[in-house]
Amino acid sequence: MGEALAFRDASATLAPIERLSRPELEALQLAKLRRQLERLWHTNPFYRARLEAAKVVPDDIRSLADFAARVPVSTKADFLADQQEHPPFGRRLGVPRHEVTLVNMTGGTSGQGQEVYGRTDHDIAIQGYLHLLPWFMAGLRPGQMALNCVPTGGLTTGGWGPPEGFRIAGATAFHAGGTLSTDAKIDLMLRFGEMHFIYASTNYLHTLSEAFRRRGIVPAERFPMMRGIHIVAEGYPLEWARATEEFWGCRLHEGYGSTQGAGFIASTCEEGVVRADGRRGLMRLLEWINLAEVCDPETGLPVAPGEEGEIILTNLDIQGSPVLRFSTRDRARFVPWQECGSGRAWNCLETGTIGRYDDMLKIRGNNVWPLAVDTAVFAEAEVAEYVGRVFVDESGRTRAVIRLALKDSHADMGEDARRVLLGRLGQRIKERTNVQMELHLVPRAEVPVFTYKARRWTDERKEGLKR
Amino acid sequence: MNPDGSMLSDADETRLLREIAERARRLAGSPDPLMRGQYQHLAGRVSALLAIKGEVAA
Repeated sequence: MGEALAFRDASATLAPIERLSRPELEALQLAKLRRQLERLWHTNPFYRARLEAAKVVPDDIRSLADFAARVPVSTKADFLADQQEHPPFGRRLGVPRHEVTLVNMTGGTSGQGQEVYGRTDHDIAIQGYLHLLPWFMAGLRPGQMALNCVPTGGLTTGGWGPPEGFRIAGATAFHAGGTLSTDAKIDLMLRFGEMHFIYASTNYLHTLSEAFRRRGIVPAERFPMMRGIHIVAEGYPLEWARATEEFWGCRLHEGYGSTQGAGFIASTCEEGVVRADGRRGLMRLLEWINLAEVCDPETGLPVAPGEEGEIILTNLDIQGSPVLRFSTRDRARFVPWQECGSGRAWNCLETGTIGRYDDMLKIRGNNVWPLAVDTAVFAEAEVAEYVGRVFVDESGRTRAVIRLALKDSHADMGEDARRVLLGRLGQRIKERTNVQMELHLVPRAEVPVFTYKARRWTDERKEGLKR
Repeated sequence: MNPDGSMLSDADETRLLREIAERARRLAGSPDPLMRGQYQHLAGRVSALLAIKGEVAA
């Protein structure tokens, strides 16, 4: 495997942040937070009203603990109500409308509505930097060739941040996501002959690897100059990560980001998604740009090291439509900075396990997160993709049915081997979810190819039966 | 408009752009790989603005 490129001291700009002690980093966060609170108090009627309702003035916030204890969380519902009352941006825009030069919106996949974000030129530069910085940490350098497999443009931050990030990285970028088929992307890579970096969703990297295998091309041999692959959006099992690193001959990196964060909030360093000792890797929080608390969703208190909690997010450098203690509903495992082992005082999130609190399915009284099923299914190297549905059958019984497709390379698997595979998978899913699911193998063409965020599950039960 | 309320002339704008272009070109030679691309981006933007203003040497 190609040698990981250390980024320690690779940049004179980043080095001072790398050397900050934890008290120094928290002092920097507090100074930026107080500046942001002061600015919002004077320019943002939405947050002014919320702070006043909580009987807080900016001067009251003398520590990060004061901030967490005294400033209430804001939610998607709060933002949507604000937009409804003061369309189209809501009062939380906080900058003159004519200074907005890019509008981003959330995807609307929650079914509740789309949040609207007005970004200024300043914000666009920060948004670009919040993509460049994780990629720099992953080894991307000026002049290198980069393939962006995430669809560009549109209304999402994910469509605009990456092109800006690659542009200011000084990379030679190919924005092929959403416009070229997977085979056409491979052809493009072969035509230009070298590629140093790939950015893709977890799911799409899986699709791309599958296509390389089908064509009998080994990327590790064909692209030995590859420095890193950076993935987003979905969790994965460790076995898949190790096999993918081996197949591509380079480190696999992961970032956690969102529209509310204006880009990446955390990302792996040179170590990648698997630690040297084989454990899951760590995403370092870029916490001098976005303040990320990891809190128990029930109590609102910070979780203990090693525990899972909800990310509560605060922008420290964003001007237009900023978020202040935003309840993301994103679920992550918190790992304190002392365990990072790199000497940096940045807190961390575990790789491969970021999930959502609200994509949880309640099946026969069990809380089932799609990630738990993903992790079980994709630990099997033969499986290409799957989709699942939950429904109530004619007898009133709740059923969870999974349709799986094998990789083309395993399409001729015999009946006995198929039975063994399904038996093993069914058992593993039951262990992880406490739900016995029905598994069926179907031809590859009957299961969709997801090009960005995979939406593998459909819940066809009536609202009243979900509980 | 200038901070003192006076208007910039076209010649003033071009002169300022030339100054920024010169400084941005120097920044683009930064040894810091994290910043170099960003400075190149800045230099490219200013160079384009000079071309748009009709500068032959932009």
